[in-house]
Amino acid sequence: MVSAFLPLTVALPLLGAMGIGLGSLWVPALRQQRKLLGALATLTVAFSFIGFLAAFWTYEKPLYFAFAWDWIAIDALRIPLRFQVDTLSLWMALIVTGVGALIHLYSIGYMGEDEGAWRYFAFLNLFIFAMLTLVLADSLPLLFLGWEGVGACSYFLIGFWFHEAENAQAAQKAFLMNRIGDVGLLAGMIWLFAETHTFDIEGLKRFVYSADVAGSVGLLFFFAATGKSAQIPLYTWLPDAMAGPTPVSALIHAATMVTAGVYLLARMDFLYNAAPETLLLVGGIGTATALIGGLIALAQNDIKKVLAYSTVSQLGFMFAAIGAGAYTAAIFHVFTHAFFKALLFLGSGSVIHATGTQDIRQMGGLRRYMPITGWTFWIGTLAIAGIPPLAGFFSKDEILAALYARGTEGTALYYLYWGTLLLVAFLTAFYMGRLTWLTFEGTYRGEGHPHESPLVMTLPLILLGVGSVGAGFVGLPAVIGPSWLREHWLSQTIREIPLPHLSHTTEWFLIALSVAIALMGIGLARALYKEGLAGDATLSQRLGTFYTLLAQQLKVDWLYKQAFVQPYLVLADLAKDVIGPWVGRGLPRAVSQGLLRLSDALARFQGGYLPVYLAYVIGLGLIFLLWVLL
Amino acid sequence: MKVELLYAVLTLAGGIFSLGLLGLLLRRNLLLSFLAIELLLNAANLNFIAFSRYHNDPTGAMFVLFGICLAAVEAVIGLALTVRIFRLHEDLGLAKLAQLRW
Repeated sequence: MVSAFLPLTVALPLLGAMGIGLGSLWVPALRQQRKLLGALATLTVAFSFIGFLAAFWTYEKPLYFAFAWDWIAIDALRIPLRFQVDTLSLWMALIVTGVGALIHLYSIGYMGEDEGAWRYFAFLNLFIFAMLTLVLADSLPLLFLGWEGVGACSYFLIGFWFHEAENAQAAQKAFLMNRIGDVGLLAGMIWLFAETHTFDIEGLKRFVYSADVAGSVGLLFFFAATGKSAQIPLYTWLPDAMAGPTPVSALIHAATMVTAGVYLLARMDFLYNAAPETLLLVGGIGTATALIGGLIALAQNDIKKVLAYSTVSQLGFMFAAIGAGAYTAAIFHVFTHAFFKALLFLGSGSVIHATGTQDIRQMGGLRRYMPITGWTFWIGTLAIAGIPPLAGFFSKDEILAALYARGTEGTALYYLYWGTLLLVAFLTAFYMGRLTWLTFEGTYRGEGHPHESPLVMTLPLILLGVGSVGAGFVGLPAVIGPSWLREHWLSQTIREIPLPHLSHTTEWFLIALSVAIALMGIGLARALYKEGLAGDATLSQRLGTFYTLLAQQLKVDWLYKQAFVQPYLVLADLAKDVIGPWVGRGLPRAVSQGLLRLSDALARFQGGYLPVYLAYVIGLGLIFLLWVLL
Repeated sequence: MKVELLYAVLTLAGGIFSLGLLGLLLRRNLLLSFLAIELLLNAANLNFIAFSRYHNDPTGAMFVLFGICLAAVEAVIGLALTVRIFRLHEDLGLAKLAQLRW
């Protein structure tokens, strides 16, 4: 019954995008109906969410549905437009459409005055559709189609206000960085096909892979994920992606785009289970990214930049979880993170809407002017900091416990990851505390009178706030009760290498430790920043030049420029100054000059004097005669 | 026909041919070059006739008829050209007729 509606459920956002985009292109008058278009876009995603919710309630076993025609059909190679609804993809689809619908609703208020709203909503819908294609695809090429679709939509939306060169450049940067990563996905896909002659994900699971193949392909897929999910070395596009409208940031950071990499690795669990070394590397990169993101977030003054680096850091947590082989923990963190990160971004959008600035030094005391935004932002902050019983606490605790448990197996490196992530958890609580205190507490440092946003914007905030409080209960720690998400839901699809069992004492100790660390972070933030900006001065005094370096985002962009852009420019100069003049123009000229000389020389034999020609003929005749006779 | 006579005729033809060749190489006048070419052709004809008689084979005589015909045609065209060139340049010196070159 439900399965009959599933194709429509997937296609709805696409239909919305086509309807809004093409309709507005043909009928320009439609572009002025911004609220109507926004409501339409919201409804398509909301109905899609309801469809998936129905599939969720009636779920028994994986469902497959295909559209009538094959996408690619070359000889024996057939790639149908077939989608797979299993527990993992359904869970992701629920996150994408659920959080996505709230962001759409919020956008009606946020983008309602923008002239390009029709373009905005069309792309927003298309973004959701691309992400649905990515998570529901049952073969790698179809997944790749969604993967690229997500990349293209992020380009359109980050560069939405493309009249300013800076925004257009940020969009290009995001697109290019993702393109570098995509090479990994493409190469890994082709490698797998060469091994197995199938693109079908279920089909791929049936093969047994040698550690070499699984490790290498796993590495290629992970490289793709570093692009899409903003990990070292390709994360630098994400902070720049703040150039887009704020709800777009929320969408990219919470529901779509950056979760794609985590999903890909969880989907490819059968590869990573066979490649422990690759997992160790994934965990290491994730941990390092989490640390760097957390550190840089300490010293940013742009409210969206802080949140962007916070996302980089939280994604690092997810990849650390994957590194521990705890794919369900990573998906769990994707789920909780979607709620509180969407909440924080939409909250920051509400603040930007009210104050007209993104600089937290111009804010302060805003909770009195905009109580709903203020309180929900506080919920988001406490959730991401890991204060129980909010959502972030459960998922972060599960990740830390998984890393610790892997450590007890004998690989000491996992203890290092665990310790580093504890430090990052402290940093998270601290920088989020700083952000919230500087924005919402103390006295207002800006000008004018900020006011609360309309209901269409605050309603999503409230709903996401409820989610941020309650979402964690689907994945309780083992010591309290069985994790429904892991044991009953995702375990139907994802195969994990079992983690060593931790004693109750150890688990309680780990929980107490992470709560204590979160409280310490918040407490330190309160101590430093309750008086306003003075805390930054203290911090920069204590940290010295390191603080300056953090404020400059560790100069990674500068480093990449020196390492990749400069050599390219040098090569370009070389081409301009050496290869062009010498090889491009000099060599052909030399050849033509030489030929002219040669023809000049040969032309002297053609004197025009008849007896000389005769002498040639006679000479040649004599030579011929001699040759014949001798 | 005896073989001695053949040798004698071939020697005569060789002498005429050499004279023609020398004339062609050394003369500086277009008209005289034509005369030299006639000598070459006739020397060749003489060879044909001699061998034709020696072998009792009329094929050689046939070639001679064609050769004479060819020489006549050549003379007509060549002389016509020579007249045109003289009208143009008022001179038949080969040194001045060196336009067909680079």
